[in-house]
Amino acid sequence: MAVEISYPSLKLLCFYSLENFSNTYILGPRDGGNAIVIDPGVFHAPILKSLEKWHWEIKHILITRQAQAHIRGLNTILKIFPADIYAKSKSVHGIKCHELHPNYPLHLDNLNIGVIHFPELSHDSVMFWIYRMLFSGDVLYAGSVGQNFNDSSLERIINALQHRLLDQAEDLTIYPGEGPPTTLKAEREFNRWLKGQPPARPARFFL
Amino acid sequence: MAIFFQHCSVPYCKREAISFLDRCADHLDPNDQQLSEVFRLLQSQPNWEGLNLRRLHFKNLQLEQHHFENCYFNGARFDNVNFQNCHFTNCFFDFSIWRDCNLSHSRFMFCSLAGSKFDSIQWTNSDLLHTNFNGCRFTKVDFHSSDLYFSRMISAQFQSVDLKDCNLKRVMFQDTNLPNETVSMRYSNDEEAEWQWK
Repeated sequence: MAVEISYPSLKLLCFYSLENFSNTYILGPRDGGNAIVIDPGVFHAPILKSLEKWHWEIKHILITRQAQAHIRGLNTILKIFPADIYAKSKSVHGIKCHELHPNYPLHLDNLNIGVIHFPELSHDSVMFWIYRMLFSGDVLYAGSVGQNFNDSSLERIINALQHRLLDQAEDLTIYPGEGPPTTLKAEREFNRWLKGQPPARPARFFL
Repeated sequence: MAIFFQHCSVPYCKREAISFLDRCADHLDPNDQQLSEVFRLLQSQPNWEGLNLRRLHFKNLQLEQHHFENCYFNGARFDNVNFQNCHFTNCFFDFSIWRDCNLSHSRFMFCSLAGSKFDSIQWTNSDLLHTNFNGCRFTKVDFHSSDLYFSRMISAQFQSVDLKDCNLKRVMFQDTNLPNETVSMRYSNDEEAEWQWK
């Protein structure tokens, strides 16, 4: 499943992986050139066709979190394009990458990219902010938030989101690592966690 | 999203101007000749990309078989608009109001309609994929034979809604108000939807 989004000078493509149920985003100039991939959870024929259509070469790969759903297509991309990888880690599955510094922006091909480190979810979680788009990875979804199996950290995740995100402009559009896009205004209204009303979760048993 | 729109020309107004015009919807007279011209233009051409149409009132328009990509309709109002066979790709309709519209055979992909209100809507035989319907209020809406794969309906409210013969795989219905008396999911795979928080 592929979706095209257009800007005056940039174009954003959204791809959905049927295997991982995750989203892969590709951002590039409308008149061809270097493109950025965010969370390469999938890399298949439709993506290749889109790259050819827009005359893009993948130059940079941004990873919000080193979960398999976000990096499954990484090796395939690197077989075709000698791209630089940016993640909150020195390496991803043994592949060297540029380690992101907490909250230090990136400048890639005349594009300013805000980097928001989110250790409350995991040590390697980041969100990327490009213009009024927030690629939230596993941190924030439409109507829910990212969670791990540690209940005590859930409170920290919620507090961190409320503290860092809720006072931003409400027209901020959010592109999660999974699920449909949303806006900050909608999340303020309908995201129970951001409103401080998390639902009761079923008990988990670890054997 | 990162479209750059011109700012409204009214002093101290922080909103962005409507596409093709110099003012935002709040500073436009509904009977403005230029606004009518914008609606005429929208109807005349089928393919649109990157428009700001926030908080406009769309009334009695024929927009069938149109394609909208990366357009913003947040807070807009749609009365008796024909969107039959339309495609919407990464468009935003958050907190919009819809009444007596025809959306049958339409396709929404990667869109957000969170917080919107729908009343008397024909939405049959449509593809509503990967779309955000969180917080929506549906009254007398017919989704018969539509595909809602992986869309989200968290905190949505339903009254007199037909969801018969729909694909509900991975649709999230948490915190949703779905009275059995007025909402039907007959022949739909509601067992493949997500009803509980994980």
